[in-house]
This record gives sequence, C-alpha cells and structure tokens, in this order.
Amino acid sequence: MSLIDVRSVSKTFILHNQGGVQLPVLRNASFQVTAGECVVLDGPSGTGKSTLLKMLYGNYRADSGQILVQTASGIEDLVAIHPHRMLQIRRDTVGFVSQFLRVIPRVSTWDVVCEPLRRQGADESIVAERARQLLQRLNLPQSLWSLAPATFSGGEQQRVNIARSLMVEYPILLLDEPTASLDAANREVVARLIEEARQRGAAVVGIFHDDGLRSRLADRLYALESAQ
Amino acid sequence: MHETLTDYNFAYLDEQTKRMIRRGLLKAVAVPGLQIPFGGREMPLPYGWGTGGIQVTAAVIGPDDVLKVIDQGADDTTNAVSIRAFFAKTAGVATTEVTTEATLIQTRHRIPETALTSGQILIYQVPIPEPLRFIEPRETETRKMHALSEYGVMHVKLYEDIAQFGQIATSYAYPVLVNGRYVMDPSPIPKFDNPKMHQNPALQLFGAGREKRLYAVPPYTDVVSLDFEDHPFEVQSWDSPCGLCGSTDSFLDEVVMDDAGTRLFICSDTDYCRIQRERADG
Amino acid sequence: MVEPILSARGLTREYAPEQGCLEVDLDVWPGEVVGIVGESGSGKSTLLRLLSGQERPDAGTLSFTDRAGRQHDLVRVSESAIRQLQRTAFGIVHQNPRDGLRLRISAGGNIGERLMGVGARHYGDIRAQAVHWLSHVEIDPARIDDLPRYFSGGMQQRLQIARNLVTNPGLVFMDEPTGGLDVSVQARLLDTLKRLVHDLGISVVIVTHDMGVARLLADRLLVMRFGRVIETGLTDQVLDDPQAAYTQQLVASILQVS
Repeated sequence: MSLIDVRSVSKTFILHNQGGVQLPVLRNASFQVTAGECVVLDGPSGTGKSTLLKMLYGNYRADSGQILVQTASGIEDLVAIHPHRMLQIRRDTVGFVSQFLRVIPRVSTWDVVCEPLRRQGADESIVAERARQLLQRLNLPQSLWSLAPATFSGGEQQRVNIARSLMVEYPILLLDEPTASLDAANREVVARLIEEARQRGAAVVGIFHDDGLRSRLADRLYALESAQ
Repeated sequence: MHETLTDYNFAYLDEQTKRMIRRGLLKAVAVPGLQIPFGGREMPLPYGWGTGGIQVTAAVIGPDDVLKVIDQGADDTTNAVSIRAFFAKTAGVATTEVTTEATLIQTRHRIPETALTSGQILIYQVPIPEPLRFIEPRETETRKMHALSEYGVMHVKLYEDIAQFGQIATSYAYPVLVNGRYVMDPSPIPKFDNPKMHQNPALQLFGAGREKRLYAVPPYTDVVSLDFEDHPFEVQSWDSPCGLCGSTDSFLDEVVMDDAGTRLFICSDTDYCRIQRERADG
Repeated sequence: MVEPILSARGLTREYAPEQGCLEVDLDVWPGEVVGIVGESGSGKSTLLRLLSGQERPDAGTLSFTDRAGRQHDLVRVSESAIRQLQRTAFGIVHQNPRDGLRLRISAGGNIGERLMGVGARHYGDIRAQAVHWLSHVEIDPARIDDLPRYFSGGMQQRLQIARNLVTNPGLVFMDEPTGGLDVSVQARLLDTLKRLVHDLGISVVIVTHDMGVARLLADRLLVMRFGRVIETGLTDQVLDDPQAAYTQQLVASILQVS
C-alpha cells in the first residue's frame, strides 16, 4: 500500500523582485512509496530534489499536481489541505530530518529533543526513556544534555537534530542530507536508525550524497530531470 | 421708587433649584447608591465646607422641621454652629442638639450614636463621591464601571492594604455595597459607623457640592462593607471607655489635655455623651 | 476536525478609503499561534483590535467560541459582554506594558485583579494564585508586593502576561510584545511565551513586524499590506517559499545571522 503517492507535481519559482524571472524546478514529478520502502531522490544539483522533499512536508508549495499521503484519517492531498491540517500531519504522520538544526535560543538539548513527543501528549517517563536512548546512540554525552545547542559543533547540533526528528515514530520519514556533517561512526548510527524505521514499516524518502548510505538504504531511486 | 428684595427665599435656594435637586434626590432614592449629577449652585461658602450637604438640606427642609447639625459628631464646632445659624436665619426653622428631637440631621463625617428612627432624614456632606476615583481618574470610565458592575478594583484596594499592612487599613470612607448592586463611598465617616447604615429606618441622603453629585440610601436598605472571607470587616475599638461618660460602645476622639501629652478619650458624639452623663448622674 | 475558536469573514474597518483593515478572513484553532506580519500602516494592529473586540468593524462577521463551547457573535454582542470576555476569556497583551498594568498596584494585586473582578473573595487564595503565576512567568515570587513601576521592561511585560493568564483565557492577543525590549530580554520572553502556549493550550494571535519572532512563535502567518491579507500559510512555508511579490521582498529584507 502506498503511503505516499506523488502525481504530476510541478513547480516554478517566480522571483517578482528580480524582474519576475521564472525558474521552473519541477515538471510532472511522479512516484510512490510503500510502507517499509526507502526511495532516494536522485539527480544532479538544481533538479529540485530538495524542493520536492520539502513539498512532502508542506514547506514548499506545489503549483499543480497532487501529493497524496496516507494518514490516520485516510488519504489526504497535501497540495489542497488547509495549513492547519498540515500542522497536525507534521505532528503525527510526517517527520522531517533537515540538514541543520534550527537553533532556538536558551532551550536545552534535552528539551529540544523531547518536544515532538511531549507535544503528542506522551507520558514523560516514555519521553525521557526514548530521548535517552537516541542521545546515547548518537554519541551525545550526558554532560551536554542540559546545555542549549547553540554553542555545539555542527556535527553535534546535527545529531541533536536527528535525535529530535526520530523521537516520534512517523509513518512517513523525510531525510534531507542528514549525515552531511557527521563522521563515519555517526553516519553508521544514523544508517542503522533509518533501517530500523524502514523495518517498522515507515515509508522513507531521502536525499543522500554519500554513495555508501545510498546503496545501503535505497530500495529504489527516483531520478529527477531538469525541469527547464 | 420700586422695592428691592431684601429677604432670602425660604432656605436660601430659589424654588426652581429646589425642584431640580428634589428630582435628583428622587432618582437617587430610586436607585440606591448610584451617583446622580445635579446642577450645584453657588453657595455663600467655598467648596470643601459642606455646600453639597447644605443644598440637600435646603431642598428638603420645611418650616415644621427641626434641624440638628453636627461636625465630626459635635454640635458646637464652628462649622456646625454656622450652618445651623444659616438655616435658622434663612428658613426660620427650629434647631436642636438632641438627636431624638431632630427631623433633619446634617452631618459631616459621623453618624449619631443614638439610633435613628423612621421619619428622620440624615444628610451627609461628601467631598469625593466616587469610590473608584483612587484608581481610575476618568469619569467616563468610572461611569462604565458602575454600569457594568466592574468592581474588581475595589477589592484590589483592600488586597493592597492587607499586603502592605497585614490588615485592611482603610479606617474611614470605607467602601460599601448598597442594595447588592452599587458600590458607594459612605463619605469620610469612620468605618465604626458603617454598620449603622445597614437597614437604617431613616432616609440617608448624600450631597457633594464641588463634584455636583447626589446619592441616597432609602430606609431599610442593605449596606454591606466590602471585605475578604479571611479578613472580615471589623470596626475600631478602644482600650479605655469615654473619659467623661464611661461609654464603651461609642466612637471616641483622642484629646491631648496638656503639654505633658496627657490624653483623654471622649465620645465624638457630644449629644450622646451628654445623655450618658445625665443617665449616670441620676 | 476540531472547529476554530475564532472565525472572521470579510472583517473590515476603514478609517479612510483603503486605509485600515479590509475584508479579512481568518480562523484560529485551539492551541495554535497565528502571526500577523506587515510593515507599519499595513492594518495589522487594526485587525488585532477588531479581533479582540477593542474596536467594532464596519462590516464582516466575527465569531468566538469559549472554553465551555459557547459561541459569541463579537460584532453584535453588547459592550458589557465584550468587556466581560476581555476580562475572562481573552487576554490582551499590549505593546507597552504600562498600558496593560496598574503601575501603582503591586504585582500581586495586578494579577489578582481579574480574579477579584469575577468574585474571588479569599485573600489567601488570591495571593497563592499570584505567587503561582509569578513563577510561571519567571518573576521571583518575592517581588509579589513590589510595584511594577520599578520593574524592568521585560519584567513588566511578563507581569502583563501573567495578569492576563490568571483567568485561563482560551485566546490571547499580543501586539508587538517584544517591541522595546533588548535582544536577550526578547529571547527570554519568547521562550516564556512558547512554553506557556504549549503548557496551557492557549491560542495566540500575535502582531509583529519582526520576522524572527514570527518564525519562532507562529505556526501560521498572515502577511498584510495596505489593509489586506496578501498571503497566508504555514510560517515556514511563507518565509521559505513566499509567493507574493511583497512577501518575497519582506523575506529578502530579513538580516540573516547564521
């Protein structure tokens, strides 16, 4: 069963403040992802991989087409739903692991990581247990947990980001170059975590430049072509 | 040669003014505790000396009335004497110092100790009629607050007292809720007198001359002092009785007797004190 | 799907031709933060005043559902009812805390006022509530008897928030709550707001010209220009993929501090 069904999605950026120049970035992109499958978006730079991934999260808008996802309420088209509904879908259905941590001042690593599961109303002991597991697996020492990530290295911040994004077991998981700033050992940890997500039935869509990760995780590649 | 008028109209005010004030008083009686504006006149004494009280008295007094005037409970202070003389001259009415003999009592800052009876009228002199003025300077806003019963701030004032002094420190002009609806400033009477206002058989009228407001508490109206459940309303008490009559249930003034600082506590209500002394003598 | 707690359709208040707030549609759901952004004169403050009942619209509808599920037609309701809502079901946090506080009443009295206004008559309980809310907004409870005149701007603002939250409103309106505060104080206040929104399940409508504040706090954004909403959507979508020319301009002008 497809958890994600992208149908003929197109997008053109219009830069109004630069003479209205148009930059077509996607043209009739279509693919499906089933539960337990990992599809890697493939193609040279500028072919809209990141844009497409962000559209699956409602972060970027589609000009036309449909993005159908399977939620607890049935099949919904992310292109057409109300923004308020998208907020709920982000909470319960679709998770996004970005390339960098968006730093919020003064909030501790622990609270940053716990927030997505707390927001769902989960019991604090369950939240704490899961946070502990993820932080430990991602090799973040306990001494850092009470500190705000603002002063951490890029790699440490990204591991906090990954821990946070994996707290909730989303049916759909989106990954945008999650390991770009990590060393080999931590890349291995992340690969393992993604495999586990796949095994529990999540539909995974990712952008990886690392060939090793790609070949290990991808069930299929979806190749994007230039929309020009 | 034509004749010039040399006499005052009865009770000084012209009939139209009395009519206007009476209409205001009727409204005030109909809505207990609500401030009613009135067209205050120029009186032969400045604001702050009882012009409101005098105008109310002048509007309701009749030739058969017997007038008592007290100032801080005493009949013999300068102001009480002057006002009594004023009405004696302009209305030709009988005057008295005996509470039970009076039909009209004009008062500044006290309620007589002797209980009032049905048919008597008590007229209070009021400086600032608006109980909310301490916190809200805008008249437009205070009118709305009364209209909408937005009285939270009154309890805030009492809260502040307790926070600062450990108890409600307001000891005079203590705010009351009249007829379960309007919050009223009872004029600067000591809080000791507040309970007397409740369910009083007499008609209580209030006049503020500078602010040009009238208000009233009809006979047998509920008047309840504001308080908190855990800081209930309490009246003042003294350690010693009145030094002249021995009363233990009247409001006492503290009087310094000599340069050494000797103090004597005596009843503020002179008529009441006299009655107690006479009773004691025989 | 859950119903919105506040719904506006065609909301209009026109001071002069094309000036004010024109034909605005807006929904606010429980537990979400809606940001209204735009430059000075865009109509955002007018919109906020209309939504919070501080001003009546010339046209349009506005409906509010309180925590008990009762619906209120905010255009037609009496002034008495509006004032009552503003003291209980709404919170209104003014840009300048001095407009939203009684400066000569203690911090505790400021917080307790709304409770006393709805009939609270136990001094000890009122005081306990004040202590509770002071800690909630990270003001040292030992300052409960201090006058807000002597508080810093950030503290005054937090006191204003506490004063509003004490009656458990479902909806809080804020007009530039961080304006006039310096950067580190702002960060602390935004933090407090985020936490309160989450912990108390309140909805917030916040007007700001600061995109950083919008991104941090708001779930959804409305972009206003010349009195009209020219774009709306999820905050990150509006800021990352702006569609309208003006929005693109607005976003491009944000100073990037990486």
